[in-house]
Amino acid sequence: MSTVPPPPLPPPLPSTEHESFQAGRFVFGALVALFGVAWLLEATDVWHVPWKVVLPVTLIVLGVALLLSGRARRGQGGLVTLGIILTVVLAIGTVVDVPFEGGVGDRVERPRSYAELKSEYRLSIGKLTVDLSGLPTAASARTVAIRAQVGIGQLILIVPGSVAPEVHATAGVGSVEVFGKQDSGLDVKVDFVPHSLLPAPYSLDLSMGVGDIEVRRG
Amino acid sequence: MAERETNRSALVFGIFFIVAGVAFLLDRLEVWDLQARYLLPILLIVLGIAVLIGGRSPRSGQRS
Repeated sequence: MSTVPPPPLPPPLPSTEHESFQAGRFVFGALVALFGVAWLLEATDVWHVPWKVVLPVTLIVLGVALLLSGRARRGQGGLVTLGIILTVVLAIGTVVDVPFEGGVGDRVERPRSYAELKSEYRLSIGKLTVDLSGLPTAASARTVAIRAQVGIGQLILIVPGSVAPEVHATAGVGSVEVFGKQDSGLDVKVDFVPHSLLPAPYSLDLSMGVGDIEVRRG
Repeated sequence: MAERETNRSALVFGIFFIVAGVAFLLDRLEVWDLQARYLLPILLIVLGIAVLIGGRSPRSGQRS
């Protein structure tokens, strides 16, 4: 009577590959969970999450995780895909600065006095017109700083015809025209500094993500 | 010996993500200004090189 030898067991998964595969899944899951926690804390006003720092740090963590799991032959596809998506999002965010506050649509701001004048105007998507032509001129000897920002759309600044403001206008993608001086394309910057011994009545800091900026006299 | 060999694409993408992440972080913290008009084409070039180098990984040879 002969005994049949048991069939050979399949070779075990190499421990390094297995551990690295698990590490990749662990990092991916941890990042997704942490992102959810941060979002929840933001939504419940418990913690104001510094998103501008979170995304680059996440990309660094992904890179370190890939290096640590570098011995695996599989399992890093998700990390690489996530890293590429993050890189593209961050690159677009560098070019296009879209504010999440300010609303959507067409808006016209027409202050009639300095009490009505705001220091900052924001719109996420749409057309924002800030008409300063109704403001009394020579009301102050100091420069009044005004900032206006639109994510996607159009920004029009109308200044009184008799004043020469200082203007710094930037657009991620689009065109900028300041008193007839125009430029367009990617990462556009147009500055206008009046030639005067007196301080400029207004200092206009204008920014656009994707779209057009126009500064003209009323 | 196989344990000593690393997945080259993971190595390349890992280093690329770390460098890109540090660059974006410095830009966000306004320590270093990334020039947008140069950033996108450079990113495309580096990503293309990473894919090329990753495609020459010795993974297929390890399977035999």
